Amino acid sequence: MATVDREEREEFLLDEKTLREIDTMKGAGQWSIVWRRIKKDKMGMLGLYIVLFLILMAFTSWILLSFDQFLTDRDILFGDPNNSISLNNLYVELWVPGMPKENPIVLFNHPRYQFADQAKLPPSFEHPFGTDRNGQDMLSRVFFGATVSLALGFLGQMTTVIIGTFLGAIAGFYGGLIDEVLQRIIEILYSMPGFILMIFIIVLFEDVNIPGGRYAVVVIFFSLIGWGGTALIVRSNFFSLKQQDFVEAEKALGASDMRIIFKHILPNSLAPLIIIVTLGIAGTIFLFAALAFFGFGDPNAVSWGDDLNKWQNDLIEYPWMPMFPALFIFFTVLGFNLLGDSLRDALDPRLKD
Amino acid sequence: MSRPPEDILLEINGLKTYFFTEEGVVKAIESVDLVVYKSETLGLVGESGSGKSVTALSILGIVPDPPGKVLSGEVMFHGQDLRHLSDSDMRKIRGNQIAMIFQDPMTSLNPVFTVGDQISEAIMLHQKVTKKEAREKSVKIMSLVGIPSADERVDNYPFEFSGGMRQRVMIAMSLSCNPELLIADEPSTSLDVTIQAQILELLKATSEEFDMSIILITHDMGVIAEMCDRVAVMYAGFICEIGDIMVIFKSPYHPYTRGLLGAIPRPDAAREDLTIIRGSIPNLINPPSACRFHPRCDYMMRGLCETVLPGLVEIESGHRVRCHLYTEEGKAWMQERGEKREIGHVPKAAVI
Repeated sequence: MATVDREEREEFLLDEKTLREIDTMKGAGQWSIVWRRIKKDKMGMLGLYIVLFLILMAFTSWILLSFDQFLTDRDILFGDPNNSISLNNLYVELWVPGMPKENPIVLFNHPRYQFADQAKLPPSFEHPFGTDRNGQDMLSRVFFGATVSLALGFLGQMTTVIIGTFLGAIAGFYGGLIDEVLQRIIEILYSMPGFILMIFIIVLFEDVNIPGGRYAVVVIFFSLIGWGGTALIVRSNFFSLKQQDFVEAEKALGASDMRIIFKHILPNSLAPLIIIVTLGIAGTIFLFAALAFFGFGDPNAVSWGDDLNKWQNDLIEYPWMPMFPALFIFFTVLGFNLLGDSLRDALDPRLKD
Repeated sequence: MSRPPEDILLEINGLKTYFFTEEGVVKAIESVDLVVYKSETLGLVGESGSGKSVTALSILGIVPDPPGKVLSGEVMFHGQDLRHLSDSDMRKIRGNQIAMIFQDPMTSLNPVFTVGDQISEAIMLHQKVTKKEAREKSVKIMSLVGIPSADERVDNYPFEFSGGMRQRVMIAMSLSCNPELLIADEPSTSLDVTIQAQILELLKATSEEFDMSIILITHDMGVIAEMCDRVAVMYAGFICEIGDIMVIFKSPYHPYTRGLLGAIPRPDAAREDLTIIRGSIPNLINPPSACRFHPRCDYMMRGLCETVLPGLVEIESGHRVRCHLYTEEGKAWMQERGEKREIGHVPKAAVI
């Protein structure tokens, strides 16, 4: 039996006490350090607030729309769900609280609700962002458009990152032939004009009927060609991490390769992945909005990019129609970029505070 | 002093591991033959680059591939050749029956998990226990290896531990499945001297407690003298001498072993110059022919040592030497030229 003599114990207790003091003084753990660094960074916090606000907005509008759909599907709402012209069965309304029930001021309508005789109205008290040519409230359009715009960015970025991480991890861990093949594929992907290729594919698959519509095609294809950057970063990360002794120690414990790759090395390269995702979402949202702007989106979808596309010719005459969707795209990209930059600085291990 | 064959735990015959690098083939291990008996501590000693660690990795089958490859030889453990086991069978042995601890405790633990998680994982890899049971076992084993207030420390991250404590965690991890053989690859090299002594003491105590064998890899003759029952001396990929520790320290037969022992400064010895081994360790891409020690050897027999590889000669039971001074060819060579080459004993004062 290992006996620990008293001297050693006392010496160690002291050591632990100091450790505790350090703990209470500054809080341990990588993530609390990261959080402290972000909190210090004003622009990063601004970005974080913008991102949180947008995510909240996207979730609220998604829940409301799903609820509306749920009621409509069960004929609980009056109106004729089979009659596509009768859009007045879309009854999501958020009222300004405290107003009389008979004549409330409606803040948000259903994004497809058309106000009769209220088309092309400039911003006013009743319609803070104005109305478009169809008599739809722009504020509601922008509010409910957040769901699709953000979801596309998230989905597109997450799928590319997952594919890229998986392939990059395998290539980085095993090296050799797998790595060579992967690198050549990435070079091919990089040498193709992505945006034009996307447009080409969208036109090619225009008539394909899959759930999710045209945007499903866009996301799937985007993730198929977009994973190269992530894969390269993860690969180089794995190259240095697999040399670490803990990988060898883990092998000696009898862990399988997959376990070592995904359970032990991957958590160590989490920091660059977080940065890739945050900065990448901004780029992806921007790309999808740009695709929609050039008319390769889904005209039936409620999203910022599609609204921007619809009213791009009205910029001079009715500036509020394209302006507000564009403004929200701008804020989203700005928010994610600010947060991503701040995260990059905060996660930098060479930075000591 | 040799023990009956049923006491053999691990037997390595003619192990050969090369590394195929871009500069050329590094012939890291040419021929390693050794035997580890049950509940003994075998020291594996040699200069850096002599193939000690590669031997350990080859036993476990975790030589980094590419570039490394175990080319031939057999590693018999419980009567089965580990080299012919499937990957999944081998994983069941790694960590479970043969565990390994590494030189640098600073980097051998995954920095993003708590030590409790890592010990629990080692347990759960080989035993069907719930997470909670594994955690309880981790705490138990952590206090066993002398980590104070283990029930709190179990949730700490590696960076919150000192080097000695981390090495204790590594030992706890390797002991967690009661292995029969522990390969300790320079377990105390990167620690300071007082902690070194503690860790070695701990290893000794646990090996008795768990009744396990240890292969202790080191280049520190003092550690060997302290810890081991038998010692194997490696040079440039060969085992050149293996035997009982008292026998080897008292009367080494191989010129290299002699050189090693003569190069240790001793406070108790009369002041005299330390012997040196001239030259330096060979480049293993183009190693010297036959006996790889011949360019540095004072007893080199021209025409024999650089052409014929000496076999392992059994001087007495359990004490084997790979040197032409004791082979038939060598004796014939000496007789032919009428020369008498004999290795002297280590000076009396230097004997422990």
